[in-house]
Amino acid sequence: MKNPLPKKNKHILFAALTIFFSASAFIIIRGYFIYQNQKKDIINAAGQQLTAIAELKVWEINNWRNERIGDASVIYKNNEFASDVMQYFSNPSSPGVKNNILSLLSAIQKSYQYKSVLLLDTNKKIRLALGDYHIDYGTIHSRAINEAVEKYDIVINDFHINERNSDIHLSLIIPIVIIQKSGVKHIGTVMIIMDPHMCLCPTIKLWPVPSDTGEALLVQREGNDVVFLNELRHIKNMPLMMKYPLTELSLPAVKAVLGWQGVVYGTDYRKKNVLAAVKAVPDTAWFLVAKVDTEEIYAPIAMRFWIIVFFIIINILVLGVIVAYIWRYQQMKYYREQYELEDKRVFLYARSLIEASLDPLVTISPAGKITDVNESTELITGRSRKELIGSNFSNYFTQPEKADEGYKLMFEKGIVRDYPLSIRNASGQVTEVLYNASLYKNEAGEVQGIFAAARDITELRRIEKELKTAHNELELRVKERTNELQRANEALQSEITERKEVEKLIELRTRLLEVTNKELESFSYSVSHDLRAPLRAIDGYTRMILRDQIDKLTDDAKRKFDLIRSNTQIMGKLIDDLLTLSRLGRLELNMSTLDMESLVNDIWMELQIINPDRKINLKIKNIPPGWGDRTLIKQVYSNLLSNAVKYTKFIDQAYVETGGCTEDGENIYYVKDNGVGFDMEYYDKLYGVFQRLHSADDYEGTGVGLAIVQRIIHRHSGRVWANGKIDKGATFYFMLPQKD
Amino acid sequence: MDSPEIIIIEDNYHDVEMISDALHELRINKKVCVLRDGVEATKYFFNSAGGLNLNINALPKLILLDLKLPKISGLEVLKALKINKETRSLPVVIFTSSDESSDRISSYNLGANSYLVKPLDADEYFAYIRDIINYWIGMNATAQ
Repeated sequence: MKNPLPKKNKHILFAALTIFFSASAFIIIRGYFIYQNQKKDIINAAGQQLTAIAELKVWEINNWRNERIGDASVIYKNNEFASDVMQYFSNPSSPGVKNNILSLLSAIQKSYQYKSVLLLDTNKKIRLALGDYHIDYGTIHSRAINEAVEKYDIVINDFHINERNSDIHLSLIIPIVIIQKSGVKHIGTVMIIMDPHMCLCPTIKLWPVPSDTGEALLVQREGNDVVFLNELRHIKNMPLMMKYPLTELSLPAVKAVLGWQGVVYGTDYRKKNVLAAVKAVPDTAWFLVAKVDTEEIYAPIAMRFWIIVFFIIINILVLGVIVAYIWRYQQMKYYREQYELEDKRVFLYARSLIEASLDPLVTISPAGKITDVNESTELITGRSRKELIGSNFSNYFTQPEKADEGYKLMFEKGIVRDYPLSIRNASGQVTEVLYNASLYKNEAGEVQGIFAAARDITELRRIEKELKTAHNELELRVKERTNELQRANEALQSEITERKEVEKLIELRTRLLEVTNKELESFSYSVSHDLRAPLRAIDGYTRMILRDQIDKLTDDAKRKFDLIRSNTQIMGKLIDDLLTLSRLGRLELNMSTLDMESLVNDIWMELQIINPDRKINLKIKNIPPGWGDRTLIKQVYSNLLSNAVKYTKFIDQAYVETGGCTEDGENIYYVKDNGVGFDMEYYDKLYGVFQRLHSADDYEGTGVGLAIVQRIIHRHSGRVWANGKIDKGATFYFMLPQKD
Repeated sequence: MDSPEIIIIEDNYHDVEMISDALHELRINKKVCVLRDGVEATKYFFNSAGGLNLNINALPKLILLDLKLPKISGLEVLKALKINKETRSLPVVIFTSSDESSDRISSYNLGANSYLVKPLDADEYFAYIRDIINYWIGMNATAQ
């Protein structure tokens, strides 16, 4: 039987899959959030680091500025130097003063490697110079000098391009003043020119932590542009003071000059995504940008990503194994339940089969005690199940010894078939039975007992007897019937033989007839031909005699020679008709639908031409179209109509009528005249070859015309017949079958 | 010129006499040769190799051929005459007693120039011969 369980099984599978997939989804989502958090942490850390670096740089720049101002302080508010300068300006040729000034300035220049140190007078004209400089520096820095003088303080001039040699430099402007009672008096200016690449940029360039892309930029705004002041890490030989328009908002540098503070995302001058910290440098127009490529920041994030993915996969696999294990366990449990149910059902089924058996069934222990019985056994023995189980099985037979013998035989052979015994009922009634028994064993193959089934054969015996009587009766009847059949068969056999002989005879005759027909045809053909030759000769010679001997012949001889010639022609006509007749048997029919009326009209016209002296009234009544060979049917009409013309030649008012009708798929046609008619007594000679009912002297002709008509109609599977009376005219009929 | 202008291939003596008589009556002084069967006719025209047996100038102007001939039939003779290049253009008039359409069709298919059935009436017979001669020889004569 098929398991009715797949439905529940499906539920279990569905639940397992649901658990598996939802847990997997949870793991993946959780992994995703972990990843996102870690990413955020890393970015935050990077941002903090950048901010720290930016602050450090700003601090360093400040530091540097303070140092520079410190350097300048050596000169600034140095009264001794101021008086030397004053003396030098009033008397430039005084060597002592000049040397003093030069030695101080040169000390400053050398110790800090400044590009140049210049001494300018109040007119901003260079009076003393050390290092590389330009003659117009005074005018170039005029604004800064004014500012310094006004403020009476050191001014650091911003980065600017030396227009002469396209150098970038920073300048430190120190006003030189003398403090008098009347106030502060400006006497000159010292200008220190610095190369930023030598002094400031290295400080900025330095990145405090190891990084492949980390970079600090110093920028400032100039009109609508942002200007990069320091050398860039990623552009070798960069153009001086690179500029970008403020519209390029993605540049962190632009963001910086526009007032952004803190950590920003952006795209740098290389079009690379970067994370940057921007900060203004206090007391200057400068901004500092500390940036790192996001790629570098994300590198560890990518690593984390794969680690998380790995853990997700491991988690899902473990989950899968667990779910599969649970599913299997559930399934096994389910199958076990089913199996137990089935087991129980099978047991009940087997038991009910045993009980339902009409044959008495018993199991007997090796010791010969009954261990189990069914209802039939109770019935046949007339004892209850309780009584029977545990008792000796042989007790219930008329011959207990014979029962024991059968029981022993059982152990010898392992099986017993149709062993006859008689059971005695509790009420003394005896039932004849046949026993079938076999050993039954446990799984280990040990004999557990005997399973025996008895069959009540009382009824069987009775039927056997009846059957035998019936069988004998039947045999007798079969014998009788067989004899009858044999006789009939013999009679049939002789009839068949007879019939076969007849068939053979018919076949032989048919063949003979065919041969005869063929012979007849070729005979009549050659006869017709061979007969013509002598006739031709007779006519030919007669003509020659009449031509050559005309003078010597008497009138009577001439008349007789003429008769020879006319008879020759009659003979020729006879032969021609015979030829036509013989040809008819050989011709193939060329069947078509025929317009009989036009056929009749054509022939009538021809006949009128042949017989111009005859005035005959022809009436054509309704003629149905026919199915036949045109030439042959025309011949039929031609013969019948010319006969009608011929046999009315002595009638004053000759009348010919033709017509037809259709009956039962047959077309019937007729040709009627009011001529001499014929005697119906000789009707059977009417269609014979060379048969004539009238004298040839009165009515010329060969007597073949009607034979031809009959032959043609017969070849069309039709019929011909006629009616007539002497001097009362004649009617000739012919029938043609319609097209099937 | 000794070669015959008219060849009559005919086995029936009476027909030969009647044709000759008709020619005589028509006063035709052409040389006539009569061949009595198919073998004789074939041998007259062709050698054993199938080539022409007589000088090309000796070819006749007209052949009257009967179909029913002993040994080799008239149709065979006609076929041989019409296959050969030299004799193909010779006018062959079939003059026979057969009125069978099969004979008529075979003759025309093989290239017969005319097919006439011998009439029974001697007057008609004479008229036929007269017309044949007039047509096939008379016309040629006027053309030359």
